[in-house]
Amino acid sequence: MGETLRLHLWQHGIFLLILFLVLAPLAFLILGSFSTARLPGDFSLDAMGLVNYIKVYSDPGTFEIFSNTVIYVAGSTALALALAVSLAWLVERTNMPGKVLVYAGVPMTLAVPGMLQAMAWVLLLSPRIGFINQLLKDIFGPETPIIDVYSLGGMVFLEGLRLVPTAFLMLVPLMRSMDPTLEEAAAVSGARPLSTLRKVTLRLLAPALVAVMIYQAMTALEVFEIPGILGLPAGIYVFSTKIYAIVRTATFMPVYGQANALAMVYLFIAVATTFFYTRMIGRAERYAVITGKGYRPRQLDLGKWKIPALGCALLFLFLSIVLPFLVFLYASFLPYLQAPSWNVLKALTLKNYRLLAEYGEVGSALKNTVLMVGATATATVVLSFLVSLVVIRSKFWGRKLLDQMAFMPHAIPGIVMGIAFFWLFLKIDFLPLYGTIWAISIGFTISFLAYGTRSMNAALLQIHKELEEAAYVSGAPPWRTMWRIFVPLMMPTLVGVWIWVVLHAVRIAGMPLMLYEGPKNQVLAILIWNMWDEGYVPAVAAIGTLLMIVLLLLTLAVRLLGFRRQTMQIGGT
Amino acid sequence: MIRIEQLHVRYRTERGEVYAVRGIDLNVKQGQFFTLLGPSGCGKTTTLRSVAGLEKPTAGEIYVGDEIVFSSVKGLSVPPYKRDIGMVFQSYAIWPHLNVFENVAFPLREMKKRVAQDEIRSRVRTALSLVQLEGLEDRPAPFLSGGQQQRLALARALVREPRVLLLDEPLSNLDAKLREETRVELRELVKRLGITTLYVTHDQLEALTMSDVVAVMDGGNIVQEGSPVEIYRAPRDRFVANFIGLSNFLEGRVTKVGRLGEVESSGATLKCVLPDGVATGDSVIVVIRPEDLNLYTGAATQNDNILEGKIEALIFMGDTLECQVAVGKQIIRIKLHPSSPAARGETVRLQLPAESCRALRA
Repeated sequence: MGETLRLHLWQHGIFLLILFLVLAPLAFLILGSFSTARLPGDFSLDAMGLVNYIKVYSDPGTFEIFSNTVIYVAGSTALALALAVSLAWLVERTNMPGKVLVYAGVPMTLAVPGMLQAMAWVLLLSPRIGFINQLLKDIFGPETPIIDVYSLGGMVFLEGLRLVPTAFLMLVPLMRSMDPTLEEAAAVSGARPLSTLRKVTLRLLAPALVAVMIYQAMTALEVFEIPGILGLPAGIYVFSTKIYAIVRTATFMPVYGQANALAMVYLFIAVATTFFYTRMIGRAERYAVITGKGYRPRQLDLGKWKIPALGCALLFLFLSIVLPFLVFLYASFLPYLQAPSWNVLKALTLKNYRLLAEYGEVGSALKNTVLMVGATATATVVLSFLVSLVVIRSKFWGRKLLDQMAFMPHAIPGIVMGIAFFWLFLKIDFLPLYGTIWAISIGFTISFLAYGTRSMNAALLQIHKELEEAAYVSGAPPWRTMWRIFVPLMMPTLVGVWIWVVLHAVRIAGMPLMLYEGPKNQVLAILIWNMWDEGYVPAVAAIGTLLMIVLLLLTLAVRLLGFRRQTMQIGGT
Repeated sequence: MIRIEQLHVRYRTERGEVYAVRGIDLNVKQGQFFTLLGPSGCGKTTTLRSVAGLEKPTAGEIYVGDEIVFSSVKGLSVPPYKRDIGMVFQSYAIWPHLNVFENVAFPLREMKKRVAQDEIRSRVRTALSLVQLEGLEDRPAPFLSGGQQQRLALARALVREPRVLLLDEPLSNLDAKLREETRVELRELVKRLGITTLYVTHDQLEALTMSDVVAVMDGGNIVQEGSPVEIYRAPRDRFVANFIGLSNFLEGRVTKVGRLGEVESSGATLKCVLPDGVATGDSVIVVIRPEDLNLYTGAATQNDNILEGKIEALIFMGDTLECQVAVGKQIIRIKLHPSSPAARGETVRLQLPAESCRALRA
């Protein structure tokens, strides 16, 4: 009986912990939006009102934020979907050569942090210093119209590129597992290849495409770094950057409640989209096109278009991974920022790298980052594993609710999460968390819980129930079974989630910026952000180059691990 | 050795409540090979899992040996890892991250009293030799054939020398030929070890060939319990007769009572074994196995229990020829030697030996 009680205790413990970690910041976010006090510290239930809402929503600027957000999200999603569908179709359904380059290259683009990619494009396309703009002026004269990356168009273009890999990875299995007889039926009914593609293939994929599209829109809506680097300098705000600006811009005293009031709408849109998405997924699964049988779909002969098709695919890879890396590599060796020329090549220097080693803040930021990222990844893995064990393998009464709670942070944009935790840590001042890296760690852990539990749920479902039961009847109590059966069987997933979290926690600047208090909890992403803000471009380039190399190696490790997981059979028979 | 009293198991699923076991009693004696036989959903696996402690019964009591392991009245439920059992699962549940040796050593390493390395090694070796897997100790478990996995699962279940062995359809994942060999081997092994065995299957042939006692289950109840011969020769109701082997059913009415009574069916009077307590005029069903009938194309050697009919279909099945004879509106099936000269459309006479005809209450 004692063991049963212990089991109940820890199940309830997990349940309450997740409930608190997810709901407490949200509660403060909502309460804060009604707070008429200027600072979170002065918050009291007596000083409540609608002032913040009135202030924010009577401001004509808010409408502009709304329309900017719509253009930015819709534009980047459309661009990404067009690119991803084309790429996935080329590699899965045509005889384009060099497919392996695309299969290997597209996921690698996930490794480049958005912030760095945006900075690289600023170096190429900013009106004053952009290398490409300068080149254009040199060739066509100073009156040449320039391409300005500090614009909605720039944001759409870059976020569009950034959304491609995820969409591609979602679309490839769909294209691969589609029943070819459906297309063959169209062909024998007299349809030409292109009209088969238009009238059958794309129609069949439509529900899945809509689901992918909504998912991408959610991501674009959440992202802070791209609109932050490209929009903030030009005063083009979307929801995420406006909230940041209200809290962090030093020009006037921040009015925290107004940020919350704005965040509420932002949150509402995000939650509504997520709700719509989960319903959409349910519907898409009912489409009987994807049957899971091992098909080898027909491949369209591209004929003389083979090489141009490969060229387009490689151009995408060049723009989203090779070019940003080369730009950073180049800038990192510059004594000061200038466009490429013969003279520059002679002046290249290692000064920036040496500076990094000497500059104290880099060292402390690096230490903070390693600690923060390590703690976040470990906490996410352990917590997701325990949550999924309860959700999938127990008869605990609240397991469905627990699952939903763990998924909910997925709908909460990082900036909103940041501001919510900002309030929480200020209010629960008996825990000295505010202004520490642990605050950032906790915020990230909650954000990544959705991903962690989804992966663990899927992996746990693949482990045959009898493998667990065999351990019990062999005399192993639950915690021994967890340790000797579940942990080793799930090792690929545990390691995979750990690395995934590291890859994301290290690059995201939005939430840490909301919780940033000074050198004590400055992490790498914030350091890069601040140095960029202050104009230390070559130094940023040096850090960025090193960071990109590390992230590329880690991504490669995940890919290799993924391949091993596919060959390892998990099951009873 | 295993005693179950008034076991009820109810559980909730997404599709509503399932009443899987509805108050069964059974008693497995020391060293007995006891089989629970029934179609899927009859509650046999739930019963077995309740003995293992993997399922929590709603009510009842379960004893393993002298020890009470579950009692709803006393609010007692010993967890599976504290019960003195070994179990083989339908999927075998071989842990893919461990090799053969470590799979078998697992139960020893989890024992309350620490077992010395040397003893683990020798006990694993003994268990593996029992199932003829010696020499495969270092092989990773996923690299075993289906038959080897099944034997590995058995070795793992036996290595602790438990009082009771629980087997959940252990042969259903093997191919037909291997299943046949394994049936004999498995029974011989557990008999040699003298271990009390509770076996669950939906395969009547397994139940008949391996068991000392068979309990046929249907809808959460035990409908008949007895030796394989009793179950086959004297089914107590239509379900058992239908589920085990092939049976012909003839509807009729009792015209004369007695141990060998008389029943009127299809316009003929049949002598048959009557159940206790039937009266003249009661409706009954006469059950007769296809292999018990005699078929005559000419005059019958006996005049008792004769039915006349026409051959409707002949089905060649390799070792037998199944002959379907229309008697009135009913079809009666007979097993013939494959070289029998029967022809379709022929008028024939069927003789039903009285001792092989059993009437059941309708």
